Amino acid sequence: MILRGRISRGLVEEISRIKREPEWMLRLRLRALELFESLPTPQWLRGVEDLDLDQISAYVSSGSPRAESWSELPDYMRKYYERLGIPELEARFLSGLTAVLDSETVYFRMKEYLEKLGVILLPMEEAVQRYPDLVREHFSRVFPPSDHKFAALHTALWSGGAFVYVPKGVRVPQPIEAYFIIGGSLEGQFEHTLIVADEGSELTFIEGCSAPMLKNYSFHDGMVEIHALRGSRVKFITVQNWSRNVINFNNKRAIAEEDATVEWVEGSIGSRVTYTYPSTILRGRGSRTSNVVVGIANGPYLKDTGSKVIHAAPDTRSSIVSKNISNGGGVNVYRGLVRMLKGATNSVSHVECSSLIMDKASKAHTYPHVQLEEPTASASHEATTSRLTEDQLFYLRSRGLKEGEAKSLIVLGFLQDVMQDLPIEYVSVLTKVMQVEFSEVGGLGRDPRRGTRVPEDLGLPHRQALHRLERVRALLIRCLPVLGGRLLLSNRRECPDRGDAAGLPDAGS
Amino acid sequence: MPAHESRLAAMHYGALGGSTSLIVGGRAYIRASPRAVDCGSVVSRHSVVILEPGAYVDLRVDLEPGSGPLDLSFVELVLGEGSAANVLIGVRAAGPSPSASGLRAALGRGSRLNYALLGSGDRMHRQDDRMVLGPASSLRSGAFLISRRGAGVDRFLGVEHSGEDSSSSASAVGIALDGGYVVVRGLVSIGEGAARSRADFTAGVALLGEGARGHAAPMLEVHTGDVLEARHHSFEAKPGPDQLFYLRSRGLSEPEARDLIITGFAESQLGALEGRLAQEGAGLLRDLVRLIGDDA
Repeated sequence: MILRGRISRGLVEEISRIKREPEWMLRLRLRALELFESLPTPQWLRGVEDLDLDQISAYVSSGSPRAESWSELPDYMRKYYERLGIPELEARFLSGLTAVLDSETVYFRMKEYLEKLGVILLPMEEAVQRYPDLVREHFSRVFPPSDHKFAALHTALWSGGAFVYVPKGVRVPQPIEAYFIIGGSLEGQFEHTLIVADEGSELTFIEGCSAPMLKNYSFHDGMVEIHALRGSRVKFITVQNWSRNVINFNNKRAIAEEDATVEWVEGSIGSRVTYTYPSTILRGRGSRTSNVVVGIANGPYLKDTGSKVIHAAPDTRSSIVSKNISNGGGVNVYRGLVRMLKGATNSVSHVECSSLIMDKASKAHTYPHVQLEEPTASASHEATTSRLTEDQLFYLRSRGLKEGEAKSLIVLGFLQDVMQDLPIEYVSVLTKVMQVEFSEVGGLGRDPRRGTRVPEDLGLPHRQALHRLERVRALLIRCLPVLGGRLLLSNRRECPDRGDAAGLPDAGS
Repeated sequence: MPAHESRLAAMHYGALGGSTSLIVGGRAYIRASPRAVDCGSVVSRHSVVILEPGAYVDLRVDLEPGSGPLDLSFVELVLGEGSAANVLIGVRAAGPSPSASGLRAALGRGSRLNYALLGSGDRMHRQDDRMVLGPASSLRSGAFLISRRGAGVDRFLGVEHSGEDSSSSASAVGIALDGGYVVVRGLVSIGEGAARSRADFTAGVALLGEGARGHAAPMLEVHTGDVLEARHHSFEAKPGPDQLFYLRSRGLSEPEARDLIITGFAESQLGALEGRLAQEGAGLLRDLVRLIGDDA
């Protein structure tokens, strides 16, 4: 089923009807629709000129029932996920997994021990029906639709996503993952993730995103809300590797109560345009947040990322580290806000931004903002933009490294101190991804016009290099099926629109 | 400073009540205290100083805006090839009305501008400085601003590197005393043609007193990969209990300790000045600190 057309009351009511939602959720959607219609589009947005919201599909569903084992999925879907390495990842590494294709959860499973611990992990729609009071208490309370136009749009059209509730004192031993795929062009995905960590609990949540390279753009406007209650600890990791024709808006916010800790790790690798600023409101005394943002604009793409922290209680702490790399005409923007409200006594914040520009055509901009209303609080910001110099390359090449190897080594050195915040499984794969992305021929497959075809006019050494890198990619996919496949596959070559698994490149081909 | 630059610029030209222009060759010392010409609802004045190639000027401008319902005052400075300017602007916005002032500077090839701003505001004041840097030119800029008595002082610095091998080092510190509100912000932009340029921008605010508020926003745009280095830094400074205890243990009263801290912040911003204006800047700072001390 596909719902497409002008974003209207009728469309919103139809989505709500399909999901058999309670009255309060429909009212919330309609209120958000009113806000969407009345709020202005931010004037500073760039790279979204061709976004036509009336043209995109607001709701897409395959109609298949939700599966609880991989064998229940239709063949084309199962192959889709197998090539991304998701089933193996789930078996080895995760406490629970929800996989969203387009607008609906197609696969959902939680390991038994989580159930015994009392953890609730459900697709968002099901949570609305089964735990209406709990969901209603938190849904759209952390990130209200009135914040901006695209938050309102999300709340009006949301579909898919996950709900997680971790009971008091429960420590979830392995991460929970939500994996989102946009399978078609001119499609909108509006998934909603809501995490409630009760007092003293601990959770790591991983969000992965990918899409095949399609003929036209797609639009992602997701939302994450986290409510970390007293003494809890939530770590939220995003590895975003949308294909290079996805316009990506991501709304992420957390509220941290007394002594709670919220950690955001945002790896923004793919997409044509990304706007994402994970934010935390430190509402309880002694609460803390850390935010690590890595933005890679490799090619003529825009990464507008950053972070926002509001210190609203005494003795709160925040730390933001942003690392951006611009290459091949890419533009990276850091946009951040640290606000110390009156009463946030003895609070401390530190922000560090580093940008690396790899060539003359690339750009990096930094827009930090510190607002202080509390004399006893302190905040600092440091930013540096530097370039890849001929001297650095020459030095490394004189040690026998090829230019591509030297570049990837410099990039990895630049990112080294943020890698420590990632699970070890991700570090090894990201290292390989960087090596391929910043090789002498650029990111293979990052440009749909180039795909992975070896250009005829390239000299023999370059042709050999391309072939060699293609072999490296194939090797990676075979050797690291857990994560390597999905990080590398998502943005490769043009393939037919959604639902055609044959269009996806074969692993190891 | 084109009229279409901003609403403020358009208003400034629309209400222009007086203007002065000077062309400087060789070496010169200029001291100006532009006075307002009241021509209705907005009081506005404009000065233009042009330096011929190789010229040198020490330029001091004292502004005491606030005589009309809205008081505007701008200085345009054009530096010819190889010229140099030392500029000290002192602003005391103590009048009954809001005010705005600013410096516009265009730096020609190989020219050098050292600029220091000392300002205090008892009413809402905006200081809007914008510089365009040509090839091989250099800018050193420092600014110190104090807001008090519920006043808002907003300082914006725009630096546009448009020529290759240009360099800029700019810093600004704003202090908000009781009930004051200070904003220190700016945008340093390194254009596509500004290869091998270098930029360093620091913005800091310090809150000294109840109800004080401050914002810092040092922004940076790098439009070329061929940049030597671009850095920016913002901080919030507060005299810690140890610092105050140390000063008081040396026999200073609390107001004296506070004045010493303010002087320390301000002196760091006068470092860009050279020669005669360095001394005048120190004198202007003493007057400013005395004024604050007397009021306290």
